[in-house]
Amino acid sequence: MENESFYDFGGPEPEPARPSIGRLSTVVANPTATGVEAVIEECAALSRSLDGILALIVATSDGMLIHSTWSEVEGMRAAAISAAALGLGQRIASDFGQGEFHDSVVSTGDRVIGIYAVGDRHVLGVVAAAEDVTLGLLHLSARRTAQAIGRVLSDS
Amino acid sequence: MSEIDVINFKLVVTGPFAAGKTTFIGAVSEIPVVTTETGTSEGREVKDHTTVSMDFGKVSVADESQLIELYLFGTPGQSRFDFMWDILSKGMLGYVLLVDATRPETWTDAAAIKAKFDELGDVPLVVGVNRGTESDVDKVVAALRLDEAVPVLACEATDKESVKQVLITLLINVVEQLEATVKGSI
Ligand SMILES: Nc1nc2c(ncn2[C@@H]2O[C@H](COP(=O)(O)OP(=O)(O)O)[C@@H](O)[C@H]2O)c(=O)[nH]1
Ligand SMILES: [Mg+2]
Repeated sequence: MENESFYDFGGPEPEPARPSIGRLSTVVANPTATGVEAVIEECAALSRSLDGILALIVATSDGMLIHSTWSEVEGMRAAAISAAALGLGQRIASDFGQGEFHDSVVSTGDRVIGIYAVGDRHVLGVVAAAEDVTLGLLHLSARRTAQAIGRVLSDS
Repeated sequence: MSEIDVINFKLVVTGPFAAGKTTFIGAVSEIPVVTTETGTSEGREVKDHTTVSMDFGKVSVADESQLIELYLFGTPGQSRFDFMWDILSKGMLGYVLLVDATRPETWTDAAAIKAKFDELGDVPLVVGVNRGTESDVDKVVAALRLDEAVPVLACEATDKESVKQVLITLLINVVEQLEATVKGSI
């Protein structure tokens, strides 16, 4: 494949990445260990409830990884990309959309990638197999998960 | 190993178009760099590709008791992408302003970028005079009217050791500011 993905989508369920959080980051408060556990559980519940989920990531809006189903290095890169996508989405929403950013979708044919706002300080990214999910169902479930994660992170 | 403290620092690398930002991050990153390069429609005589969203890389610095992980976010250089500067500067603890010593015509852009970044966060900066010598350093200090407290280093973005030197200088300033903030708040 010419444009091979850096990211690993195959194989057995990977270990949850060690939470790696910008402790001294000035913008976003870091979740507690129990907060991170709850985020991991919400992500797992989304994976169980929907066929075709290939990967999940939760990051702070300034690009620090909270949890991903990838390896740590993949997760770190995905956190930076997801935060940039969130920021750009928020910008598009405020400039062109007269409202708040909820989500954006990148479709590639094989894959559907959803980027969801989690409150205004975090972001959820979901990678799904296009043949296994419908966009409507993905949005419905992922938005619900984003809300649940938002509650967890604002409490912790 | 379990006794070692891991601390994460978010730093931004900014500067004008073709100053060497993407090269700088690529020279030190321990992970495959995230890049968003695309073809240029103007400035092709300088280079034929440009960063449109961001670069991202990571490098660790260790001493006996601490592992400091530097998360490096590189910006686009052109002011039409200044919305990405807002996005990428979120939570930054310091920034590198890269200036190309060989193209003084870009220095007014560098000054404008610095003014914008100083608004975005009250954090330390280090100026890297890329492809420069000591005499270029003086010229850049004068052209950008840099405060004497701002460290200015000649560097080579292609050279890992040189890039590390710039980052360590910034890191020292970041740690000093954080310590001062902590003391001030007690
Ligand atoms: N010889 C040399 N070339 C460099 C150096 N830094 C950057 N370049 C070259 O300058 C051009 C612009 O660099 P790039 O990193 O894309 O600049 P950016 O726009 O600031 O990201 C590229 O062709 C680099 O290979 C350096 O320190 N030495
Ligand atoms: Mg670049």
